[in-house]
Amino acid sequence: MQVLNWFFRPKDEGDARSRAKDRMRLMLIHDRLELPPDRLSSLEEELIAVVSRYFEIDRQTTRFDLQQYERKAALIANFPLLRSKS
Amino acid sequence: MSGRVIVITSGKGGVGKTTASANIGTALAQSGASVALVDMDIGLRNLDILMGLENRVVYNLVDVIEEKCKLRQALVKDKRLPNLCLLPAAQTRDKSAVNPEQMQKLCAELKTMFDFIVLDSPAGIEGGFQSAIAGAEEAVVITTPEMSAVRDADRVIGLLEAKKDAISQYRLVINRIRPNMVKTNDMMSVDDVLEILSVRLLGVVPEDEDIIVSTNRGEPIAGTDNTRAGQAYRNIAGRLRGEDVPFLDLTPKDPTWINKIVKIFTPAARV
Amino acid sequence: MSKIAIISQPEQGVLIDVGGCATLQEATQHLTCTLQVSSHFWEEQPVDLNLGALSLTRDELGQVLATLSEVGVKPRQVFARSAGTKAALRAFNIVPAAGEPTTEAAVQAATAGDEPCESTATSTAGNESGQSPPASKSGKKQASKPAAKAEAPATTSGDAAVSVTIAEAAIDSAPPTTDQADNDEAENDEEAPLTFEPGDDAEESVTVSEAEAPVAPKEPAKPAAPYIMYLRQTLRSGQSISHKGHLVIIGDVNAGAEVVAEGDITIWGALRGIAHAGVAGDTDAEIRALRFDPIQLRIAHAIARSPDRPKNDKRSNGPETARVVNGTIRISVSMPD
Repeated sequence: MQVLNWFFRPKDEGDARSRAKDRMRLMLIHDRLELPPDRLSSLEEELIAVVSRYFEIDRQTTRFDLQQYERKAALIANFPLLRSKS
Repeated sequence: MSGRVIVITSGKGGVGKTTASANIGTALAQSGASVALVDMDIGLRNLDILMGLENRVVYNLVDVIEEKCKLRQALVKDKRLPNLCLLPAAQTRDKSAVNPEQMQKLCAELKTMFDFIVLDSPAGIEGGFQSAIAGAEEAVVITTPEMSAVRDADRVIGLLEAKKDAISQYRLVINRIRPNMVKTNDMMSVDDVLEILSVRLLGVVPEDEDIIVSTNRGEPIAGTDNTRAGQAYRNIAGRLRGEDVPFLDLTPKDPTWINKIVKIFTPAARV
Repeated sequence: MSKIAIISQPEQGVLIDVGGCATLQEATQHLTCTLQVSSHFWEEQPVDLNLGALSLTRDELGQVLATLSEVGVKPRQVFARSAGTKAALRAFNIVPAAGEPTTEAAVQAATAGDEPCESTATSTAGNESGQSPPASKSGKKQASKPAAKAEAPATTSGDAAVSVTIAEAAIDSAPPTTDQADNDEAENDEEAPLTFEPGDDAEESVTVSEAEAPVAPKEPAKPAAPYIMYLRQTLRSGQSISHKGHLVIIGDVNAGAEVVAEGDITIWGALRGIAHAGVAGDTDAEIRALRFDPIQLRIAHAIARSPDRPKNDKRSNGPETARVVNGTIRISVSMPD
C-alpha cells in the first residue's frame, strides 16, 4: 500500500520558522476540509484503484499533494502511466 | 450619520484583542472621529481597565439591553478624549445575558450616534463571539505569529467568510511580532502568516514592553508618542479611515556596540 | 445557575423555593449543594417550602423531605401547585398550604432590636418568574413598591454557602441628572476632590456624581430593616450580594465584586470592589472596611470613586468609614460613634 507520506517535504531546513510554516500549511488545509487523515488515505487508495482499471501505473512514483490556493485547497494527483490496459 | 461597526476578534484568547480595541479606538478618536468602544466580554470585563475607566462604571451593556437604564447613562466618557466613550460589560453576569438580536438592535442605535463603533469580542467562537459579530459590518482579526493563534484565527476567518452578507470585509492584524526572532528564523514572519491565512493585512504591531506599562497606567499606548506599538496602532486607525499608510519598518536594528558588549557579559536569559 | 431560592424575610422566616427547577433531580441537586449550612441556623427559623409546579411522586417527595431533614429542616408549610404533588404530600400527612407563598418583601417600618444571625441563603439569577408581582416592573413609577427580584447569585464551591438574598428594589430608570452627555464634570482630574487621602483632620471630603447611583424609588419612611446578614467569606470578582438590611462581611470584597445593602455595610477585610449602602435611599447608611480600596462607593444616591492617580503613600491603611455629609461622601479614619 503506497500511502505516500503527506508530510514529506524536500526542504531540509530544521529551523523553527520553516517547521512551523510547514506544519501550519497542512494543518490548516485539514482543518478547512474537515476531513480526517484516514479518509484521505482511503480516497487515495480508491483513486489508485480506479486509474489502475484503465492504466498500469507506477505506484512507486505516484504522488498526491494538497495545495492551497488562497483559502481553498486542491488535491493534485500525479499518476505516471506505464501502459494502457485494454 | 451612519457609523461603521467594527468587531475586533481573534478566536484565541490573550493575543491582544482588548489592547487593540482600546488603542484603535483611542487612535480613531485622536484623529477627530467620534468613537464608542463596546466591551463584549461579559463576566470578564477588561476594556474598562485598559482605558483607565474602571472606577467610573455605573451602568453596563446588560443594563442597557435589559432597559434598566438609557444607553447614554451607561456610556462612560474617556478621561482624555471627549469624543470617545466606553460601554462596559457586566461583571456579575455571563455571556448568555445578551443575544445576537439584541446586539443588532443596540448597534443600530449606536450607529446613529458615533462615527465608529468598536466591539471588543470575547475569545472563542461560541455565544459571546456570535453576539459580538451579530451587529458588525467589518471585522479585524487579531493574531500573533504563533501556530495556535494562527490556527484559531483561521477558524474565525472561516466563520466570518460564512457571514459575508453581513460582514463586508475582514482584515488581519499581526500582533506581538519580534523582528529579532523572525530574523533568526525562530518566529514566523508577517509574510509567512499572510501566506498561510490568505487574508488582507491591516497592520503589524511589534512586541513592546510599554504596553504593560500603559495597561497599568490605564492609558492606551496609542496616545503616547514615542513607542513603536503606539505608532503601529495609529497607522492601523489611519488605514481604517481609508488612508494609505506605509507599514512600519520593523527590521531589527543591529545592536549598538555597547549592547553587543553587554550581551557578552550577560548570561542568556530564557524567559 | 442556581435555580432554587432561599429567601429570608425578617418576619416571615425563610422560604425555600425549588419551583425554578425542571426536574426532581435538579431540585435535590441544588438543595444538597446549597443547604450546606450550620445546622443551628435552621433550628431557629420557621421554614416554608415552595415546590412550585414540580410534580413529585410519593417517593420523590420523600427524597426531598429527607434531604431537608438531614440539615434539620422541617417545613412549617409546603406550597405546591401540582395535583400529583399535593396528593403525595397528603400521603405524608402534610396538608398542602393554601394560597401562594409570599415572596414580596415590602419595606418595613423601624422595629426594635438588631438580631445578628448567621445566615446563608442563595437566590436565583434573573428568572424568578412568578415571584415578583408584575406591578413592580423596574423603574417606571416613582412610587411603586419595591419588588423582590433576585440578584445574580454569589456562588461558592462548597463550604459555608453564601448567599444573596432579596435584591434591591426596582431601579428608577431616569434620575434627572444622570445624563452623562450634558453632565457637567464637577470634578476635574487635576483638582480631584475625589481623593481618599486623609488630611490632617480626620475627615476628607470625597465627592462624586458624574452619575447617580441606581437606587430604589424613594420611600417616605426610613427602611430600618433590623435583619443583619453575617457572612464569613471573601467575595470574588463577579460575585454580588444584596440584602435588605445591614450587611457584615468577614473577608475581602475583591475588585469586580459588588455588595449592596439597604442598611450599613461593614467589611472586616479589604474593600476593593463596589459597595452600595442605603440602596433604598437611606443617606445615613455607612460603609466601613478595615482597608478602603474600592473601585466605587455608593450611599443612597451619591457615588464616589477612587482617584485616578496612583495612591499616595501616606494614605492611612487602617479602618475607615464612609458616610454622606451634606450630599457628598466623606471618608473618615475614626471609627463610627
